[in-house]
Amino acid sequence: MPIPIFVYIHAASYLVPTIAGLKRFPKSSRAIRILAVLCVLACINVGAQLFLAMRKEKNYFISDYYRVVETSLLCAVFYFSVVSQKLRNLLVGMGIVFALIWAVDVLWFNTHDQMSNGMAMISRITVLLMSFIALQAAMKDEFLPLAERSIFWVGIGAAIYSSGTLLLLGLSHYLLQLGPDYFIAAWHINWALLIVANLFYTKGMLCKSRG
Amino acid sequence: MQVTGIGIAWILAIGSFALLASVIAYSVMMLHSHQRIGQLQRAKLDEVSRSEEKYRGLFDNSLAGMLKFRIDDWTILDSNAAVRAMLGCTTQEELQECLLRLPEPARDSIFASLTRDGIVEQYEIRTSRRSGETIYILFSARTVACDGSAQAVVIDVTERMRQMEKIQEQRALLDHAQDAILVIDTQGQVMYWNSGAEMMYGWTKEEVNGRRLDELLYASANSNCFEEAMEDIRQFKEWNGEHRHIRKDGREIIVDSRWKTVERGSNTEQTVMIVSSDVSEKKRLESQFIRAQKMESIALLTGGLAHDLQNVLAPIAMSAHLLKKRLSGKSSLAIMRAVEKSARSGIELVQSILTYGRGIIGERKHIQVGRMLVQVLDAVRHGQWQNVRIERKLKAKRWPVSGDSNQLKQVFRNLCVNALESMPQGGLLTVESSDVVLEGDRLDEAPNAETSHYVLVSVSDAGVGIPHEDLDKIFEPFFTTKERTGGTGLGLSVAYGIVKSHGGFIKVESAMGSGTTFHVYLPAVSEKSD
Repeated sequence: MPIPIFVYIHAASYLVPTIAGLKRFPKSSRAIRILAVLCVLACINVGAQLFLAMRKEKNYFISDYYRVVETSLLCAVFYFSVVSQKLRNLLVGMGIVFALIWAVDVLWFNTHDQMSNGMAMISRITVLLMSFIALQAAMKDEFLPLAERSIFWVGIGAAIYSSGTLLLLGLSHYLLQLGPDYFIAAWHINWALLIVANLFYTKGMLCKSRG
Repeated sequence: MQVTGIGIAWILAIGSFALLASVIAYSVMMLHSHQRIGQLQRAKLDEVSRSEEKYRGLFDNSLAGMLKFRIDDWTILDSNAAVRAMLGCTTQEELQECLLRLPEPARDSIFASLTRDGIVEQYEIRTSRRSGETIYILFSARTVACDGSAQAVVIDVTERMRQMEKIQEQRALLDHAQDAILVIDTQGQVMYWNSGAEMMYGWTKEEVNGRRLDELLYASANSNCFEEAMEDIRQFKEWNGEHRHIRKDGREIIVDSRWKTVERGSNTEQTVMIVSSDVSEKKRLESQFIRAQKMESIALLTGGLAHDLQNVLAPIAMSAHLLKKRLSGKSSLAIMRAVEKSARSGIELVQSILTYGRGIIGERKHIQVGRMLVQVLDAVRHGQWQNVRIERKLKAKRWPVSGDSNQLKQVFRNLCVNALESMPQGGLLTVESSDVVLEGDRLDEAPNAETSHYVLVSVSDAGVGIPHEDLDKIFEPFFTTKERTGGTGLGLSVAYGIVKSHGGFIKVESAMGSGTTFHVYLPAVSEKSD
């Protein structure tokens, strides 16, 4: 089966936040710098996956390893965006719990020959919760309009992508059983939401405010 | 099975959509809500900003220097242009240097006040501008709650301080002046009284402040002088002249006063500045000098006249004496005796005048005045005086004087007789002698003094006294108040001439109705000399 054109479009969308992040890197806050690094790694991840897909080789293991990197870095982004020490501790705790679950999964359950739906779902839930925590914290800062704050756009991007793909990725086995069309449709939705998330990340990176 | 699969797909799709929609809705709501809060907040911020701008304008444009600094290390956090200009600085760093140049005691004191009371008010500091020029500032500060800083207002009071220093210098100069300098208001109330005035009148500043000048310095009989001077001041703005003032101790002094009105600033209110010099001593010396000159002139005139008269009378007396022997008739002899007697009386009179004018250079010996006075009083006592008591306060051993015993006896006889004659109804005659040393101002009382050691003989009576206006004339020849009793008016002139020829002088004190005292000062001599 040929690779759908939307895969390339979605892959290209990673370049947008990456370029924006690298360009504003010196002036950016620590959170945005980490996000820029995440975008660079996402580019590498997508590139590697495409490369393997084009060679008809299995690329699930890349997603498995990238997942922990993505979740941890987003955890770091949100950590540096909130001020409250309690929320920071909560975010760190969530990150550690996720890392432990991931480690258990990788060491004992994951065979890397197919997609790890459970871990995908857990990572989306973790990111979704972390983004809500960060957004709630951002809400409390009344001195700067929310739309001018990086963390708002980054949080919204992460939340939209995570919420939109939570069920699709978690239950993709069932979709695969329904037939490839359903599966491919679900992945298109995933890619579309990734593009949306990347655009939101880009907007977050271009915010003048460092918060 | 297929239906179940499609159902799951739908559930997945709807679930995902619902989740996504929830997230989007949450985001939109959050954005909207925050925007509303943000608008309110922004409005508040705008208000704060406007207020800040307003107060920043006040701060920046204030003519008073303002600054904010950390209390513990005096680090300036903010400053306005006025304080920088005041201290000659262009930047805050330069101002920081100037602030650290404040004297350490001042900084310590301000620090203590701010930490203890949270406020320091109008602390006067002498410091320097950046250029090194001295500046006086008034420093007031209040701590800002919680942040360890203080806001200060700094006012340049250099000009005021210089004026105050100038005023103080002038005040010190006025206080150093010998003259009495005082300021009164138009009602005559004392507003300023310098140290010279304190010394001249004996009243201190505190005692005179607010009191009326006429009550202080003018005797009731003299108060019209004050009113006249004030009237002149109202009309002509100034007055110059002499006044008799009464000191705190009751002594009268004569002052030469210059009065001038002074405008008080821009007010129409006026004050009168009075500068007075004590001329009592000068007046006394002047009067003494004039009297001496007058006596000299009279002595010269009468001396010349007496000499000529003696030349006229001597041949008459001599001729009368010779003719007496040739005449045989009783009546002719009587006439010639009368001529001779009159001529000899005339000669005695003339010699008295000569004694006054030139004195008589007789035989000078050391005399104990006390003993001599005893003899004089014994002789005087035998006169026909009614109800007279004579009191002697004499000591046998006093400093001796050098003089002609007969002449000095004549002096004291004249004085005693005069004293007794002034008490026709009787009274007390006191004769007292003492040794005195004239020092300082008292030495000025002795004209042409060659020594400061004198024997003082005081002859006092309880008679009618001599009118004040006659005191200057009593030593003039032929001046007498006893025309009716046949006084020649030469007794005191002769006494004056004799005492003067002995290097002494006579002073008189008299009060009408109380009596008169003649003080005869004769220069004392050492017993070893001559």
